[in-house]
Amino acid sequence: MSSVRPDMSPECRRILAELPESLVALEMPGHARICVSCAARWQAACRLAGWLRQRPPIPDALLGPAGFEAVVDRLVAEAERAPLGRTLATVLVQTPAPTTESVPATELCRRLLATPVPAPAQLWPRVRHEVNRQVAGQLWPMRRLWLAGVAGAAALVFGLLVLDRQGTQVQVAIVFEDMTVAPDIAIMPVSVLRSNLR
Amino acid sequence: MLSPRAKSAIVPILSGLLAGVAMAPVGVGQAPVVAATEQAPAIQQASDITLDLLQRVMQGTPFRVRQVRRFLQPDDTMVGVIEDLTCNGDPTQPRFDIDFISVEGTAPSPQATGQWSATYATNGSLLHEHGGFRVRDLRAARIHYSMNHFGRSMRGGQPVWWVVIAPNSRDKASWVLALDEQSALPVYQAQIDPRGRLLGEIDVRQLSLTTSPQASWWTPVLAVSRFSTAEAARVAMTAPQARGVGSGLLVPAIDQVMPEYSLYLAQVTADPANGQQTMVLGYTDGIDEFFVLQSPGVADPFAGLPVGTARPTTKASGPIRSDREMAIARYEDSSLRVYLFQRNSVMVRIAGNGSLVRLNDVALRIAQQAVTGV
Repeated sequence: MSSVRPDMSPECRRILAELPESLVALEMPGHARICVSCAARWQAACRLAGWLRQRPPIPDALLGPAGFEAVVDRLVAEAERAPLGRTLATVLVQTPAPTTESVPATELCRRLLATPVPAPAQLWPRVRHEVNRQVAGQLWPMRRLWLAGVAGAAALVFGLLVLDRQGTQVQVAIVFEDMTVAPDIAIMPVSVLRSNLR
Repeated sequence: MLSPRAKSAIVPILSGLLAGVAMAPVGVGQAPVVAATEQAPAIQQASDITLDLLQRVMQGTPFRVRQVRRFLQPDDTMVGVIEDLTCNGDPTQPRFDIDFISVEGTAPSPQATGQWSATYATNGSLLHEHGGFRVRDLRAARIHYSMNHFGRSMRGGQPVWWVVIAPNSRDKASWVLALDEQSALPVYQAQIDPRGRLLGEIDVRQLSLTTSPQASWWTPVLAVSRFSTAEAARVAMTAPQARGVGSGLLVPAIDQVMPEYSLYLAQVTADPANGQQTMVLGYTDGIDEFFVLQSPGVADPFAGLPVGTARPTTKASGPIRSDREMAIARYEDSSLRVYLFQRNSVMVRIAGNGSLVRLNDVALRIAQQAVTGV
């Protein structure tokens, strides 16, 4: 695969990397005096630097509030023509223009509710999806809680069973303890005879 | 026929022992008195001597003997006790009487004589029925023992036939018998362990094949009830201590540990003094035997001793749990082997001859059974 990197000599790359410092110093690097590409690059950079140092003047149309209002109007007009704008136009209730009299907010709400506007059909699937998503989000923690409770109860029962089983199955190590003197018990003839000689 | 392996180990030792015993005098200044009979001798040739003959004559021949019972002490010294034994020879209703006479070589004090007499009065059946050679199960004895004949000799002026009854396994004692030619009764018997050490002997000083009417026969001090099975004996344990702790009494499952031994004795004894009941189970391979005794309501003798201490342990996941050691007290010497442990309010004792090392496994198996119930 061929590299997209321009074919430049290491010296040219170094001049290009040091270009900002050389522009500040307003001094052409020594390599640019002998390299045609670097000399052209240097001259172009000098012209651009001059333009960048100059701040361009602000147009008169933007100096006043009318210019900004024109920008806002243009953005609103574009939004109205977009799908969101058309949807909002059909959903939002046309409110009467405000009069000089102050209308209480409650009165405005009453007027809005008095004239219900049916929602568009394409809106309800979105609403239903959103409602289901919210409900699912609430149910899943509850389901997790329920599952955790069942698992915890099962673990508790299992643990009790294991411990109880372990309690009945006591591990006993059987060891022999040697006696140096025979027990005095009448169990064998020789033990009976020996007992009379003690 | 003695197996080649047994021959290599036992026969040379027994041959030397027989030579010494055959030459030894029966008693100083005494000769065995044998009542004369006109019947043909029970033994006319070596092949007449069988285990069946021994069992038959020992159960069905009335006799009276004065004999010396010698037993091995823990320090390997031999002590002899002189006793009189009388048997009615009725196999359907066997009766006997055994009395202490004296201690060989010493003149015991009146107190010691009284103590000996009391021992014989209390443990007469233990000495007579379990203190010497006896064919307890003829079928099993034929399987697990072999009889070896060592010919005829004179002992105390009377002809006797020598036989050695050797076990097929090497952890049991052999028996050297000198049989009276007339009656086939053993007039000398010696128990020898696998290493050729003399464990005990019964040396008949006087033998009479006719008995005068016996005034009284030996009666047990303890109340004894015999049963055909171990389970029947266990059920019969009606002592108050057994109630509620009946689960502590168990029927030992030792078939796999001692396959050649089978239960031949199941009885319940009760001490009239305190009502203490004991279930006695006897197992035999035909001649040798060991016992398992279970006494409910006995306090743990090891309570408070260092044995059986709780030892906390931790598991990788879980709370700290305590393990417990259960101790089986063990005593063993050349003549005697005893094991004791207490579980579920039942004292368990196991005893047998000193050479029967496998009793270790029996004790362990019964202890495991007491712990796990299986």
